[in-house]
Amino acid sequence: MLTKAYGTRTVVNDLTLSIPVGQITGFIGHNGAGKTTTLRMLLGLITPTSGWGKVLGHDLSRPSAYLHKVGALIEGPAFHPTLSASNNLRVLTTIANISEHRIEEVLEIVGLTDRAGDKFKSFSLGMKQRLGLAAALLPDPTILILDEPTNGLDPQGIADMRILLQSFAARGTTVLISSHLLAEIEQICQHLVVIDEGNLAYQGPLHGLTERSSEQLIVAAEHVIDHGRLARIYRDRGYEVITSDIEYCETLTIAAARCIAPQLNRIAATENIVLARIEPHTVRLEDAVLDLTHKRRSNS
Amino acid sequence: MIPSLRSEFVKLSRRGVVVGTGCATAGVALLGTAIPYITGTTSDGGGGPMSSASTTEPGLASLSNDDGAIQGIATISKLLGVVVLVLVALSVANEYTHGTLKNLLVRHPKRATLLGGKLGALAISATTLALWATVIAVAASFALAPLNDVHIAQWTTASGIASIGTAAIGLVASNLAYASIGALLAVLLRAPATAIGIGVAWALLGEQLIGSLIDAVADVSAWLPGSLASGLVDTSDLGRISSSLALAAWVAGFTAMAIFVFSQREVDA
Repeated sequence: MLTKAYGTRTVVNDLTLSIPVGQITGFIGHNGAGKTTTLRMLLGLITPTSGWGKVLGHDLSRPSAYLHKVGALIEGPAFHPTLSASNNLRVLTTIANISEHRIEEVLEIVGLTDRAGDKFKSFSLGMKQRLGLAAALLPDPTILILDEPTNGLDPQGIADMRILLQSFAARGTTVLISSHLLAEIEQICQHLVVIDEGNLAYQGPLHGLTERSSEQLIVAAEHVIDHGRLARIYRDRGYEVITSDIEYCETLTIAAARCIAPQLNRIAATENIVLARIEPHTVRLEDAVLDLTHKRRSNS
Repeated sequence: MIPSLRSEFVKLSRRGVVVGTGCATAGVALLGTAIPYITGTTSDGGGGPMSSASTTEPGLASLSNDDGAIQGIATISKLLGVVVLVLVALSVANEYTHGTLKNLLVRHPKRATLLGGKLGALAISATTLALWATVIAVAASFALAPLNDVHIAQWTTASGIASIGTAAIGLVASNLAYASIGALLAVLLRAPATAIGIGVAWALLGEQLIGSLIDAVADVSAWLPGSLASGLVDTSDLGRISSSLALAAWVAGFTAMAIFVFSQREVDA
């Protein structure tokens, strides 16, 4: 449970996070929601005003106990402009007593081997981002914390990054990604943490948010011709059928929570209609997050 | 602390840094050495607490004394100090402005040893620059003396060599003092331009102005770090032990303050 305040302004408020091990967790929120402040607290760069936390079983107040197992890219790649890529990494391997062999290894992983001797200032934004990832990978981390890792990457670079992060997760690395590219988060993350104005708005599986947000069920009968009759039956039983053109639709959308699905199935069965499909209506993550934060602000 | 020191040398060994500071130091040393030969007068460096007021001697006669090979150094210790101050302020403050400090702290979270190692590497660099300046000054003196009919017999005597050694040690102490000023300003201000601006202003003007104001109340301006540093380079200064101790106290104080602020302050940029 972490709180960070600057004067009278509370940036992070009683935030309690649990990041599942060996999964990719998306950390999202509006600009200024407190994402980077939270990451900085996890990395020991700033001290919580109150509260406590543990990373890899070690208290946040002792970052040296766990940071040797953590790789991080915070607020974009930052390196010395006139040092080469390999020398920028050498600064970090030397200060952390990491084998210099890792420099070649991580440069190869991110595809910068050919540019190892070039100065950082000559790099494109995407190459700088890849060098930032290389620096994060130097300690062969157990936890990888990445703040906007796809910034500046072209579509191929984003796809490569996705595959790379998935391969780390498959090896058991815990990955925490902060990003505003929700479509990217949706593709890559299994777990999600949403914060809004410094408060926890949601944490749990990705589908938990996208399904919870809709509270709608998609129903499809075995024969499309039955949809009109089925819609009328549901309406007669008091359910709201959202689909307007019920006679010619491929599916019916019913305003009901996931737990109502068995009842809808039972009703269809008693009317001798076989359902081919009944599932929660998933919404885009972006819509789900907007909906979530809007509701949270309305309630507060 | 050793890993941090070695890491700093990766940055300090950049060709631009080595050539830049090396040439600046050589230029300053050559300038200081040449001034007595050009103007035909010699002077001391401004004096520490026990020294007499600055003296000017007509002609080049004093250059034939046993300390003739290093008399020029005393006149440029401040300028050399400025070179070191700029190097240190850039090295420390750029970690803030480039955003590289957070990378270093993630890989080496013990802040006191991180800055300690960094300052250690910079102190070694400052020492190297002082010795380099001494070598250049002595070599230039040996080159210029025959051209100006200056006798150099005394320079190679035991006392002459001792004078060179004393001046070199004084220059090292002076450089360390300016390095500590640069480090403290860089940590406090977190911006190289501001740190360098204030540091240079202090070294070249500020201390004299403040010193004269303080002296109106009590005669203590000679104990300010710049005066002490200049005094140590001047081999005729009689108060070397007290000056050395006082300057060491300033350096330790500035360094301790820099490490304290660095350790306590949050890295939020």
